[in-house]
Amino acid sequence: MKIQMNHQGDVNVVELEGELDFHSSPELRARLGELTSKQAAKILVNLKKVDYMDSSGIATFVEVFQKTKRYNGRLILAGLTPAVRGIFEIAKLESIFEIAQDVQEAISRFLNSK
Amino acid sequence: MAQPIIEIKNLIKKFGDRTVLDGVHAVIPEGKITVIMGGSGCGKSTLLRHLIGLHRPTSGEVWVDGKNIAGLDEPGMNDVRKKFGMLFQGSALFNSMTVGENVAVPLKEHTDLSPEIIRIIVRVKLELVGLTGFENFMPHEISGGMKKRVALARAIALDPKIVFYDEPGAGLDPITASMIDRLILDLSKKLSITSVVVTHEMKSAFRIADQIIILQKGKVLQVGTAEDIQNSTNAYVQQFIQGEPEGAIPFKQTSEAYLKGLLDT
Repeated sequence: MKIQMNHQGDVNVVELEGELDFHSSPELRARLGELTSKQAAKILVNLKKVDYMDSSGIATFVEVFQKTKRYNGRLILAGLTPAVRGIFEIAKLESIFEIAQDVQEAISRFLNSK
Repeated sequence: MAQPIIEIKNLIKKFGDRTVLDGVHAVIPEGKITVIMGGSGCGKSTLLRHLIGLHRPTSGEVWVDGKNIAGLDEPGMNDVRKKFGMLFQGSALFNSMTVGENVAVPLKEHTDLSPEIIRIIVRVKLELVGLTGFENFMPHEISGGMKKRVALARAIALDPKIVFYDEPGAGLDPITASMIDRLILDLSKKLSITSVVVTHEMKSAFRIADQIIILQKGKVLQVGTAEDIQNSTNAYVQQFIQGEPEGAIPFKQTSEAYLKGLLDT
């Protein structure tokens, strides 16, 4: 899986591409851990190019969500494919996460919040 | 029907002189629930053991997700095994571990995930089988039906494509058994899992099966939907459905066979 990190203003954008599974999720966890350990206030993960995600992927996002909540940060997941959204629904977690249609919508949500 | 995920081709298994599987052909479609049925000694458990690589065929092929597992060595077989989960007849939980630790076993063994991530996955899986809040219970503190559900949570821990169930209702009261059936149906549909269930319980088979394969004396006797099987005109199938002691399936050898056996020795 490809993981690219960049900034759009003060938003930390994490672009993912490929399959988020038991093999690739530890690396994603490490990269997202870099952001949460410096208490990044705004994290946006773009899942548009992730066509498969397993339980370890969802667990990785649950952990980031818990951490950002602890320091009042905000995590938005964007661009979920139907397969990935289905995994959140099965785990009954789609209402817990803040989910945006795409990166643009997520960025504008961040901008409008402050 | 969907694409086959398992194909069994002319599978023969002999133990010494005894032929237990006698040229089995079967196709198991992806994402569906297939029930393998038959009376005691029909070969259904032996067939299941071939599907999970515990037995090697005397001859024939067993294709699982594009690989003929009959020819795989142990490391190759272990790779295939990661794609499937197994619900054992007696639940097979570790009594010295908590419910949560039991579910975590395959995650610890087969992945490099951190303990924190494993803990979250365990909670998600326990929720899927309706056991949120039971993570820290010990197996002896929960009922037989709950143990089955823990075993099921463990079977789906690694997000398998296929789950094998060996007599899932064995040892459970009828209500609990039907709850387990509902869970199998629910998980199969929600997670798009291919389910292969070995049972001799007709009610359960009719409740959950997209496809039923009936074995008799190591051969496939009939394949069809629950409705096909219920309407079967085959005398063996009807006797099996009705549970009649007398009929096409001989309950015992004839007295001639008995006498011949005695006198020939």
